[in-house]
Amino acid sequence: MLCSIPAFEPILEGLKEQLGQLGYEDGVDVTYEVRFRDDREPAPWSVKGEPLLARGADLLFAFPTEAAIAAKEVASSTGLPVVFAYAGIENSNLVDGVRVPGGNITGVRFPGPEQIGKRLELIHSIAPQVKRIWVGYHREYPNTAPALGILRPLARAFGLELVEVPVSTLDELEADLAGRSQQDDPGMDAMLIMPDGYNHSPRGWELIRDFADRHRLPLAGSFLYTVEEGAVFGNANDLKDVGRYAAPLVAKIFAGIPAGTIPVVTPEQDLYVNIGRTQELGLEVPEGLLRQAKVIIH
Amino acid sequence: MVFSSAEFTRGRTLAQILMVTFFAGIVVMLVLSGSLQLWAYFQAEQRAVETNQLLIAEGAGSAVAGFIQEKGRVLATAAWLTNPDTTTPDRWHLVLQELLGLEPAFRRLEMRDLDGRPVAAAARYSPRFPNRSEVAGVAERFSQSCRAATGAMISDVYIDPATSEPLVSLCTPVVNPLREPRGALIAEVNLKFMWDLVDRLRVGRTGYAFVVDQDGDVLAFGDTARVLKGESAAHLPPVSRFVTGSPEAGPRPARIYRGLTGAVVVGTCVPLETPTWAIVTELPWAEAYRGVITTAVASLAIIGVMALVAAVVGRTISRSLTESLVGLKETATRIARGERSLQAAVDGPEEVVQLSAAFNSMSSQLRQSLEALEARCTEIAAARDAVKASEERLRLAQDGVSDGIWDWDLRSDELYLSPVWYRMLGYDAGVLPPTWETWFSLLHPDDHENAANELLAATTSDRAFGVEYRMLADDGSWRWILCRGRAVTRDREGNPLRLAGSHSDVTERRKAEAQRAELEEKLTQAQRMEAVALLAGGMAHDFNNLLSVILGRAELALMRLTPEDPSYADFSEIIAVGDRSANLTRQLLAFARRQTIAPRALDLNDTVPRILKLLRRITGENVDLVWRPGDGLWLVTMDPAQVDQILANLLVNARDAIADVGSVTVETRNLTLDAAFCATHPECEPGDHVMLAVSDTGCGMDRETLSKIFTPFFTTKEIGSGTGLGLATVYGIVRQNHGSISVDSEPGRGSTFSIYIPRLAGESRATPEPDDRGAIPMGGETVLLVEDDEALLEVCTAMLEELGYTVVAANGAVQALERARVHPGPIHLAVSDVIMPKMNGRELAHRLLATFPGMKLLLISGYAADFIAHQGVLDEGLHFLQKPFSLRGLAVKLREVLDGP
Repeated sequence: MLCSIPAFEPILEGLKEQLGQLGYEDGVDVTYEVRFRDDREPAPWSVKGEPLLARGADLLFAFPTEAAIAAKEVASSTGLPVVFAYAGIENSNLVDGVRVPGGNITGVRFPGPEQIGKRLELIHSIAPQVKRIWVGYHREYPNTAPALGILRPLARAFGLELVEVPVSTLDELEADLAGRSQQDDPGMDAMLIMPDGYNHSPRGWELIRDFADRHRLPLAGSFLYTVEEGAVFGNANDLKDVGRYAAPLVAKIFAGIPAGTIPVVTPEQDLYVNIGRTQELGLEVPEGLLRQAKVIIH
Repeated sequence: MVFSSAEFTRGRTLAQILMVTFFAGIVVMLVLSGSLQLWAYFQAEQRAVETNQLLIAEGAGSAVAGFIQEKGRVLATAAWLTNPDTTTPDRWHLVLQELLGLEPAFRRLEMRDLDGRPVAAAARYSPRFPNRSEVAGVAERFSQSCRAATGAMISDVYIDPATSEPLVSLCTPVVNPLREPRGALIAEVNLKFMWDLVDRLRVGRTGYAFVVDQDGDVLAFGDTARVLKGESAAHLPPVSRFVTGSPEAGPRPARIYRGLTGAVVVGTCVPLETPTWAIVTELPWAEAYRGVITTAVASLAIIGVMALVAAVVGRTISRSLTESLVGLKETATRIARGERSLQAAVDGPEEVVQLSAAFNSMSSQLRQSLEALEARCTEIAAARDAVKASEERLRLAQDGVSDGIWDWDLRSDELYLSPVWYRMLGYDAGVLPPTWETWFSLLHPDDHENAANELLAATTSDRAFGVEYRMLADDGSWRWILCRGRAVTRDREGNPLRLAGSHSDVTERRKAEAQRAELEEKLTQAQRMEAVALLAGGMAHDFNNLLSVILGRAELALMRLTPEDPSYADFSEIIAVGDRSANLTRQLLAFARRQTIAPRALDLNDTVPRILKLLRRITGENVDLVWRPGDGLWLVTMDPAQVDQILANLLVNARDAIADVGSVTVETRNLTLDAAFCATHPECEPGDHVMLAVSDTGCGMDRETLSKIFTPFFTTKEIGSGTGLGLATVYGIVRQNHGSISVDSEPGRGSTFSIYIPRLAGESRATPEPDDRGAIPMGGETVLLVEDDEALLEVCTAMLEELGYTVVAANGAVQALERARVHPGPIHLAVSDVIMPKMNGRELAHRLLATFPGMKLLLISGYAADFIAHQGVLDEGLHFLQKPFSLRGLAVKLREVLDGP
């Protein structure tokens, strides 16, 4: 199991739990060996030298996008089947299509393009006065380009300015935010979490969260934990559910069905609202959104 | 396959037959009754299964229809609770967002006015993401169709290309409190929220349900991957009927087929009223008919047990019925083994009691008959043994003798031929059938008539007969058989009924007889030849003396005459006739092999053409004489005069054989005769030979003529044309030179005479021919002439003197010795007759040489007696001149002797 973002570990929990219900008992019928990626490793991630491969793994389970890409690279030479979870299939060349992924790979899709547009729509709905929205992103991350492809025209449609900060390292991200902190006007009215490894790495998330908090900026988050830690709202998926979605795919491959013939699954999106934070910032969440929210944090 | 009762009962006991019949009857009844019951049960069970399946499917269909209807009700409720006349777009937006929060299956909601313009919209995802244009297009078209809706509507199913999930749009009209239409509320429903519902539907213990749309595509199934894949179930029989909209598309009894998962299932399809989908339930066949299967197995077990019981009962009954018969059978068996006085027990069923009594009666009668029969058999066996012994003795006797036996029964025409009869001809006994056809098929065709006549005569007479004929042996040879026989049995009238006789192989005897006849023929021939030779020799001596006088005188006279003299022709004719007479004498001596010859090394390629040159006049102009000399011809030892005689005779015969025109070919060739050739030519000996062959294109000869051509005085020519000595002479010359002759001739195809003369080994050059041409050589030496014939003495004296010699003439040997002794001068040469009274020429020569060692000697004779020649060949060192001789011949010979060493 390859995991490039430790915060996504609930995927593993969901997978193990669901596989157990399908009859694959952990340690008896199936053994898991997990390899987490160090934040400091440069993208793209290469796992060719992983000792677990030499020990004869039967299947590679990888999440999110960059781990899935690394797993596919290994699988192409070893013939191992790959199941990915929460990987962006746009711009990543992971699969041929949703219905028939091809090769020896399938998995649970990360619905990034749909979500990032909704995130901009939501921040615009909750904080209509906001005009400049900061988006810092890892310029080489696979999900970045599709996300920008949605954000840029949508921002123009809403009359918003995207304050884009493309970086190649977390240090650059830190430097940007540090530089903005030195100025009276940080150059933004709100911040928006991008679907990449830096935004969701512990350090990257901490830098963004603290900056927003320090400058009392509305922060459009993603997962529940981002909302719990200060984002005014978050729209993403339940990572444990993502793992559960992946379990039947793994079971089918164990039953002998070629991975490339199993359709890719798309998880459903959740909405989380931190009503306390919005009130702190003097924002008002539309009633309709509150009706849609799965979790409301007071 | 036809199976008759006879086949069934063959080889089986009565008990077995009874038991099997009983068993089979019970089993057939059980199987028939069991099958009927099982069939009835199956029919009932099938109806129950169908009813049950239909109920399950209809229940599942209600659940699926309820899912959609519930979404429609939510939408309708929202529309009902909102007054479009007083609701602002923002309010509508809030309503729509609340609906999104209320119903997770809603992906997108929209409120449109009666003109189709969007009033408000809310979506779970941003409307701006890729690959949604097609979906949006479908939704838009549906929305447009909804603006004047008076009731709820539902769209066809469409697929989200980004997720492959099935979607459907619902529409409900929006009216104000006055029921006036103001627009439509439209919702896009994600059907994946129906999957759990369908997955939870239970169909029996292992069955399942799935939902298909109007095209047969699977919308909901426990294995969601198959839904996402867009799998079609239209190939399944119930779905196919639904998709094609056949009249049978309504709820139908369950059918058995291979279902969606590949297992054999009992499936039922129930179409939904709204939307136009169908729910399909499939239950594995084994589960659906578990009751039938269990009942069938139980029935089979019961039938098996019943069959076992039937077998035991059948065996017991059959044994009790057949026990008495078995006892009867054992009694019969024991009687057959020798216990003839045994009686069967008379008990058991009435039929068996009667059978046993009858059996006992029958066995008693049989025993008596058997004893009588045995006594008779003993007598017959004794007689048979006697016959066998007799036959054995006869066989031994037949084997012991060398003659074959035959026996012909004239009444039945049966023929017996003993083994020796066959063996005599090399056949295995029995290979050929003993028939007259066999007999006659082996008979030599030339002997058929004779043999048949003898046999027929024997059938009508009382005499014994004997006839010899040839029969074909197995190795292909003809065997001479002496057949003897006579009639051995006759009827009362004396007519023969049976003929018998023997066959004796007399082939060796016949061969010996033939050889003896041949030897006798040869002896007769030899005696005849010897007689002719004696006659010829004796006659030649006196005849040649007379001819010598005649020729000598005529020659002397002719020398004194000129051709113009009237007597010249007469003397010439006398000389010619004398020469022919001398030649005749030589022929006689030659065929009698009494000709005195002087053989020398000859190359026939030199000798023959010289002779042919002289002999061309014999063949004449109409005959083309061809000479073909062989290459590198070996030398032979022959007197050239004999070559002359051979060719002269053969050419004359060849000429006479050619009626008009033709050719005669004379050829020579080296030839090595091998043993195989000599086997067919008895007079030849193996080794190197020179062949001299004369071939003509004449009339040829038949076999009879060929067999006689070498016989003296045999001639085919007209009287006066031939002497009958020509070929006899050739034969004599050839044999005198240790050679052989063969003739190849057929009527109309010419003749070839091939003469084989042994090669002369060791000599490489031929002896040169003396040159007797030119002037007559003269001499001046003193010659002692000895001749007991007074007339000849005078003629020879005159001839010698004519040649210039001094002649001391003596009439006999005694006188010669005296004259030599008293002659004053040297005598250089003695010319002496050979055959003289008191002392022959050879003895005289010895005496003279003893007295006069330097004196040369020339013997003259008309017939060279054995004392100067061996088989006609002169002894070494002797000089001889054949009488009659010409003056030139004498002159040349004298110089040869006097000038020689």
